Amino acid sequence: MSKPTDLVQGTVDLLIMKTIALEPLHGWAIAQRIRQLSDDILQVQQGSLYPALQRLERQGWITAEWGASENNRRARFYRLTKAGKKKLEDEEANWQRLSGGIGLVLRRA
Amino acid sequence: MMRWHHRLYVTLRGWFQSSALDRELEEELQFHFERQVSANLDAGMTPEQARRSAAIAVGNFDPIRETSRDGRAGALLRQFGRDLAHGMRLLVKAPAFAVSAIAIMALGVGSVAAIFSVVYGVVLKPLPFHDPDRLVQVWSLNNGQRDGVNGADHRDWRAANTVFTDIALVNNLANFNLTGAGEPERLLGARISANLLPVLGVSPMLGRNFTDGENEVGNNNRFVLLSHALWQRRFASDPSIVGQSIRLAGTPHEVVGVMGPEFQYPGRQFQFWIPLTINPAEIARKIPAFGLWAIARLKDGETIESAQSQMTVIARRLEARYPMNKGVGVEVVNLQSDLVVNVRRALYVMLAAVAALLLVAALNLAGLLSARAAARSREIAVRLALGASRQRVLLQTVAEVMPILAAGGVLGILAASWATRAFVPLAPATLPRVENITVDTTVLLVSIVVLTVAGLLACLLPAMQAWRSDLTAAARDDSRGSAGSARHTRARHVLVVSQIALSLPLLTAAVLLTRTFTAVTAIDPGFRTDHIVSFHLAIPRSTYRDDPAIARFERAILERLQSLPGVTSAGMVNRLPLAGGAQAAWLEFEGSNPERLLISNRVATAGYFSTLGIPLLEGRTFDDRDGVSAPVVAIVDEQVAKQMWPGQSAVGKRLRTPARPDLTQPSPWMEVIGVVGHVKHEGLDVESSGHVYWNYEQRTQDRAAYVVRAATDAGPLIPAIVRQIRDLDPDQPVYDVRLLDEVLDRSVGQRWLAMVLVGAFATMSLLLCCIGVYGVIAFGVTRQRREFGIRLALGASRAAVARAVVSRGAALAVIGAAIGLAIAGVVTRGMQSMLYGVSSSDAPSYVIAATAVLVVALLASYIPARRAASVDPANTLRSE
Repeated sequence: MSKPTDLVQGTVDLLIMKTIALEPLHGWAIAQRIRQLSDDILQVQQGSLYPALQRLERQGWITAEWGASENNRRARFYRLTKAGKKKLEDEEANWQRLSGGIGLVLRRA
Repeated sequence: MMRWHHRLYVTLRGWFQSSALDRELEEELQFHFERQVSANLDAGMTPEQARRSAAIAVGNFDPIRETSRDGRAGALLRQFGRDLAHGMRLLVKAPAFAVSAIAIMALGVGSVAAIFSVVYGVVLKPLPFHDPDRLVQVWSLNNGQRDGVNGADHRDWRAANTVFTDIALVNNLANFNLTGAGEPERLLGARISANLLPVLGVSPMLGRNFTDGENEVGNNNRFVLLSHALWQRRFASDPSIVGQSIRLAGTPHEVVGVMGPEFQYPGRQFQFWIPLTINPAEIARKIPAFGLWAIARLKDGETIESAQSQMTVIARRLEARYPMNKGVGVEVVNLQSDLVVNVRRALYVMLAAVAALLLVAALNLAGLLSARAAARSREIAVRLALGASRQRVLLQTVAEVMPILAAGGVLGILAASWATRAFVPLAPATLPRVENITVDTTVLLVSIVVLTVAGLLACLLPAMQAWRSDLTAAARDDSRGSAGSARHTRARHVLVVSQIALSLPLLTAAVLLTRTFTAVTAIDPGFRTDHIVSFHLAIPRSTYRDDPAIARFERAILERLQSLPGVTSAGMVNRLPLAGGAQAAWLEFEGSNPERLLISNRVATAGYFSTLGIPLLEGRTFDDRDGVSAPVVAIVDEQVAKQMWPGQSAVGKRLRTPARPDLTQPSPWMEVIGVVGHVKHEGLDVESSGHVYWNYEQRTQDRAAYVVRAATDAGPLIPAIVRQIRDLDPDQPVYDVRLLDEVLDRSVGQRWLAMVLVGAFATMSLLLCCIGVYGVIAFGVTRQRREFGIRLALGASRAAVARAVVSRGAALAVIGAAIGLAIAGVVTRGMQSMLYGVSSSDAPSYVIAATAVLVVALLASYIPARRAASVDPANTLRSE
């Protein structure tokens, strides 16, 4: 297996929103979850994770509040806003269409 | 919806809670690190391994912190704040540059603010009345000439029109002596109809307005409204004055009210208002008086045009019905534009001149900044190479200019506010609404806008330089010149040429106005002004009951004046020359064609002519033969003599007041006893009509202007003169005491002011051009030291090198002057009405202006040229 791929900006946003769609997570857990779910293929660096979180928060797709972590420490938990849920659906559909299209080209060309 | 609330909240936090956000981020990142450590421990690492591995995985937090801050709202502003501070430090490090740049901006903005405050106060600021746009002044047109309104016409207009809510009347000539409780003084007031205040939409601050009954003739002169200023000054702001009685013209008047401080109609010098009463003979159209002002308010939905057309119809109807109304039309004009019609053009010319100056200043500053930016182009290139964005560099350029603009703007506006306060008392008497001239909010806002525009203009070139900065070329070496810096040099040349081109119209205007002033002051007024002091009296008819009593008083004063030591002669007239506005009456001239003429007349003593040096050309002046009971005699001036009796002697000819059909008999014939020189009565540059003089004892006037000639200096005589009058009558105020030289100066005050102001603007812009040319030429010389060194080494003479440099400055000046002459040719046409004795296309004026620019450009290039010529070839070549 090659080393974990760096992710382009737009995709990070999509992955973050998807991982917190089910339950609120803190930053470390988001990175961990993306890594696990992608079988270690995708790795989000802290340098992209936190700016992305702040960007999403500014845009109003996600919101954050302080809570207790699994090891009982104060952590900042992110969850989707209502608008964020809608945005996620749109982005997912977009992604499906895009990757489907790319797949078609790769198969047929 | 929610999303917007949320975004607003996040933005506001970004603005106001930046440090709290920093702390939160810090805590979050710390948690991330520790969570990684604990995960590593769970995976079986030793604590030390766990920490090190986590540190590697987490990486450096600094970029995250920075991205976070930059992403926050207001980040750009904080950045800009830092740039401002940086700009300030740069300025402090270059004080010479800072001072000159700030001075240039202060000069430009200050002049604009000062002149604009005059234009705004006088021309643009709305009148302090209710809905002032709907106020109009209605004039009678006597054979096309604007004239006052007749009481009968006013009555008929009021009855017939449907376009005005009402038409009010004003007679602005009511100067009275105020006596009792303190120094006697002469006050200017106006007679107004009771409906004037309602038409203007104002009411007294204290007390009440006049009632219609108080306008009746029988009720004459018993009531008065005081101005706020008079009330404060003379009556110590005592509210109980309302209902009390004060003595005006020797008669008690009941104070019915006090006006508010903003009510200064028709001008700031008006101190009281009394009811206007109209002579029943005027109402009956038995005397052709056209002396009143009619002020009206347009009804909603009516316009000046609709009012004009209805009033024209009404005037035609009156014309058809009454012989007196033959040839009498009507004109409806906006009240405000009418008040300022005479000065508007001059003020707009001033504003244009000062705008040109500001533009020159902004371009000049642009040149300075651009040269500075060029000198720092290497620094900018390095910063760009190190990853600064072009936006950042651009913003920083702007931020460095901001302190200059701010300091220049503040200084300029302070100077303007000082200048307007200093100017108001000096303003020429012909300038209306002077009381409004002040640096107020509107002027301030306009100045700030102007400052911003000028600042942006000045920033444009250096900002473009920063934006297009060529990394590699600049980083290599600036001083040798790259394509980019050649482009900037060209741009700076364009700046200098523009400054010259803009200055030339200013200079031309200044030359034209100076030639005008010289031409006007060279005009012979027809009398002498040196060593003469003049003063005025308004003699109350309540004390001096009839004409002989007044004449006796006037003679007594004259005798006392003549016997004063140091006085060589004294005389009296009812109105000084250059003061205009004399009475005019129809006269019939025996044996002449045309037989009748409307002619101005003045009442004088024999000593008046000798004191003023008005030459007696023929016959004699008044003497003891022409007393009260003797036949009335007249003196005419040479103009009347030539016009009425061409080729003959006027002495011995006769004239009389003609009969008016069905109304009056002609007066007895009156003999012309002398012919005197023509005097400029309306103003130096106004062709005044001929004059007839009556003897003061035969046609007595209660307004007197005395002229006293001194053997030496007339000024020191003034206290003694005033004392003589006080001795005769302690209740008699003396006003407008002035040296006649000063009276003459004041009559050309407006022209003088225009000349001095435009001249000052032109001089300043010429100075800026000089700095501009010097700057760009000196910059070029510095860059080309090496080239000059080589040329000299190859045998070029120092004179040739200097010539080459000077000719560059000359080339800029010639191009600028050519463009400027074209501009001047167009714009100076707009000031033709301000000129006298010189045309706006006067070629010598243009040549003078262009020559001035050329000379200045040559001088400005001369210093850098000498530096170029003194380059030491060996030194220069070795050093590079």
